[in-house]
Amino acid sequence: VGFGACDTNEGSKDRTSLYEYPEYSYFDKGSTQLPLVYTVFNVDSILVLNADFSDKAVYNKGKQLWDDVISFLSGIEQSLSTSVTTSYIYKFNDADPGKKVELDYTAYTVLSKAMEMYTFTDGYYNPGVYYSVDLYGFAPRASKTPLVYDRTTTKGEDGKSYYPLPEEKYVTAFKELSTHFGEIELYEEDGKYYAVKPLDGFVTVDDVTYSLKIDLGGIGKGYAADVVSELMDNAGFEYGYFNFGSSSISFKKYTEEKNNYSLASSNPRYSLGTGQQYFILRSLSNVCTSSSGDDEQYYFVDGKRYCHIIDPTTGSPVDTGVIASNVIGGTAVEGDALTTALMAMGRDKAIEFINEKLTSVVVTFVYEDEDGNLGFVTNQSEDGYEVKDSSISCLSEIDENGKIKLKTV
Amino acid sequence: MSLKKVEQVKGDRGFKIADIIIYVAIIVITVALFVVLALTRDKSPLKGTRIYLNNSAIFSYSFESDKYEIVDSDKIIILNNDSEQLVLRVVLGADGNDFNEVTISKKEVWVDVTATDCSTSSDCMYMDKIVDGGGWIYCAPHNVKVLPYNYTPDNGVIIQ
Repeated sequence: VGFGACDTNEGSKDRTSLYEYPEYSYFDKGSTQLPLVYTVFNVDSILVLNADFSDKAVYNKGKQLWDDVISFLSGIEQSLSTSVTTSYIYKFNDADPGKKVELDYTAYTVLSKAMEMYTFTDGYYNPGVYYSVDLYGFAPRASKTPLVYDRTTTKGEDGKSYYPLPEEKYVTAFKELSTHFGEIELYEEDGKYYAVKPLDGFVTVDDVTYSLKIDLGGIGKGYAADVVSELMDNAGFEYGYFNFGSSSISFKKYTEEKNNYSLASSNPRYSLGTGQQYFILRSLSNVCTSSSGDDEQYYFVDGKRYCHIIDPTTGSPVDTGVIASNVIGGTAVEGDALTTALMAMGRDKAIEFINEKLTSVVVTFVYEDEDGNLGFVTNQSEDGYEVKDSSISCLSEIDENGKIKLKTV
Repeated sequence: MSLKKVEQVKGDRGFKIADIIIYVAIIVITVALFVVLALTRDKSPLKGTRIYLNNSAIFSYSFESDKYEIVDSDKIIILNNDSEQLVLRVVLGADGNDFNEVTISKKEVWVDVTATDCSTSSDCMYMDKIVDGGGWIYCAPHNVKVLPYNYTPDNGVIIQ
């Protein structure tokens, strides 16, 4: 989410006094854009509504929607957070193997969807990699109490600080632990929701036992984007968008004059002063988009990048060459799972998967070869996008059956 | 420190090549950041400001009407209000002893966090004062945000 703002986008209407509705004066009467910034899961979410707020009825609807969104977002953290000790997912993670844990509706719904996507992606999306994420230093913790596998940030011969890589025994053990994710049992009984942790869902390393833990934060952002999109529809707001930490966005139309937003897919290797910040521009509205990339959270050890996205097949940060992915269409909750899975699959498996299972959404991923050259692969025809950075070339084309095939060099 | 070590330190050059490279890199990055931010930020006139605590608006002020509104009277104390400036305190913490002090210059039209008690880095005090529609100030330890009216995060182009 960029804070560098652009045009103010104000209308030419007379501005009504700010103080006409003092109890609702969170935003400017008469402004045609209402931005709401709310922080949850340690990232900012932004709701932008474009409407004529000089109309009292519209104004009140906007205020009600704002209240509803804040209420929902504060609730979702209480459902899904892995670091809030009162959340349902925290309690699930904290429970022993084989234990039954009560969930609320949100936690139950998102976990159900996560399990569905785990199966759909053949396990490449796996939120059971919580301990692997933590092992590499990327998981938020409720307590700052160190764990036995923590390492001390140190300085290398080149003088740079780095977080030493974990011992292989932990990588292997936590990879094995994550494979039990699919064994979680979910059921509903008398209007209550329950999850049962797998009895075998634990590993022991050096006499310390680790029970299966899950992290639904990524897919939870998509779920939130879907719900807020529905809230916007129900409130009758046709123009605007909801952006959750940039990884999940629900778009409506932009304005009456210009229906479509421009979605710019960021260049994952962009750094200030080098190349373009984004490489593709698309025009869209009334759609959900999701993205993942190894440029969100990462560090380097011996010149190699280690990011927060874990490959369930290795138990380590993804290292497949697919460094970013983007899904347009479908639901954001599914999109979030898919973009993560595509990065773990690698180029060829991802193409196979897209051709077989993702024919109703637009999918794009960025591939970095061994020499550091970037290219993108997409199942969208060329007239659907505008290339803004020629240094990231299109590696694929669409064949007569509408399938992706790699261009021959 | 041994005499030998002292002599060795004295004999070293003041700046090694690696030091100079790092200093030059810092200067280049700083200049580049300044140029980018200066060119891309919203420079529309500052019409008012709103203060948020834990994502809820607790105070707003309009330069146009020279009126302020306290949404949460438990959290705001007006310290001074004259023709030149409005100074207020955002009261924080369970015991009410924590604070951010915000100064609104009516004469020069800017908003700034001018004092805070947070025991860490007080970073918000070193952020630029808000002088137009593109500025903002965030105090992370207190979760206090100061935003201009009409704060606009986009112009229809969303980077993802």
